[in-house]
Amino acid sequence: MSDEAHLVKRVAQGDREAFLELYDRYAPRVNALSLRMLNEAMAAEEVTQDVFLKLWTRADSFDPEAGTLAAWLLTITRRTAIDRIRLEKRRPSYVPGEGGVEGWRKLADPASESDEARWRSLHFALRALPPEQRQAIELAFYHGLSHTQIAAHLGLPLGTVKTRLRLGMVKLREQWFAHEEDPGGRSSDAGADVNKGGKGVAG
Amino acid sequence: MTERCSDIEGLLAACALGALSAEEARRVDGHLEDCAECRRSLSAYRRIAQGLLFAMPPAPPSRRLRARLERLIAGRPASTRLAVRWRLGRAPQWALALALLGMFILNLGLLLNTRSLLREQQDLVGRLEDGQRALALQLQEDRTAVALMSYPSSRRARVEGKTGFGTLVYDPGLRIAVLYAWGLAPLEQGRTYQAWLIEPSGGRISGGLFRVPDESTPVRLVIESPYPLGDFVGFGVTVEPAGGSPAPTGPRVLRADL
Repeated sequence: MSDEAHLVKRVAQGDREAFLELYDRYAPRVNALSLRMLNEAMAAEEVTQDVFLKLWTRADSFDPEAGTLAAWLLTITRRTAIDRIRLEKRRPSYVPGEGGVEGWRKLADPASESDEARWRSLHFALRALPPEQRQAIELAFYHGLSHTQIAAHLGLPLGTVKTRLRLGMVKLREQWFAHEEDPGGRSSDAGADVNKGGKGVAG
Repeated sequence: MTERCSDIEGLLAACALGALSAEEARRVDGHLEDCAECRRSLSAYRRIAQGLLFAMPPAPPSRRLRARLERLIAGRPASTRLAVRWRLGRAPQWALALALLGMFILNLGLLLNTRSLLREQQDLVGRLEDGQRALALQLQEDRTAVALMSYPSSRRARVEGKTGFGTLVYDPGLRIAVLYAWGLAPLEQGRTYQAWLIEPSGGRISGGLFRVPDESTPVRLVIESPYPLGDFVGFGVTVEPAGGSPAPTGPRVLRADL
């Protein structure tokens, strides 16, 4: 059993020390995602609190075979933040995610450095996208909007939104798999489609 | 790449981001069942989407949040699913038996109450049907009387008694007559009023039985005779045992000459 799986098991048994250790380890990531989605420090902390209370009361539902604890916590964070956005009918106030490199260096666990490097490069790849493609991806992922909702919000045809999402994700995928084999194996085909100028290309 | 793949491939990125409509999501799911290539492509996009969860610098929350969480978890049991399972598993058998007995008694009570309500309902329906029949009979009697009175040769005989009085409407050529009477008192159980047609020889032929519910209710009786009314010389009403008599036995309460 991995270290984090062991800690989660202790949390399920009511071990507060194990809980606080996991909190110290992952709260910065959970809070960063909440802040990115809600763009408001107090609301972000409330979501962070909710996520860790869910860890406390549902620790026994974590399955280490299904993925890492970090991914589990951040998936809960995204869903909790989207629920809050919908409940409060928050209008997407699109603010491109900023942040310097310094924040990355504070991550305590050296074993995650390779992941950290990939997340950092993804962060910069997202920032390097054409603004309209980045905006479409961020509205979909960080605001929980569908195709149709993004089109309505931006006053664009649905086809344009779909194209921007697709082109942006294709570029991110090329960046992500730059140093390994792309399991989908279609990046070159997708690039050929783009070069042929598929319908509704606006990015 | 098949034609269908070219339609679906454009949706895979949005699928990984959770941006599809329900209908589009169903289309993608249906295609993925048979297309390993698209499944691999979606898997790649999902890895990017998962990366987007991490693609921002860490942002530690305030110290207050940690302190607040410490207070909150102090008063809350960990992993409530375990706590609930423990509570249910340890419920004593006598408590379960008592709960079942209580439910049985409640259901029995409901069943008995329902039966009682059904009986009441049936009684009410019966009373309503009786009332309906009585009204139908009165209507028929009224119609008969009206019809008789319209005959050019119809007659009315004055009916008299100690307390009661009324009118007998008849046509000498017909075998039907209608009695209207007032002032007759209701009889005790086991007694009834009986109407008689009197022959020239003194013989009596029964014209029917009737009861009076109360003194204020007028009597309305249709009399059917085996012979035309012109063959009779008189009419009378007596008090008889319930079910009537072959000949008058009780006191006469009403009479009329025809």
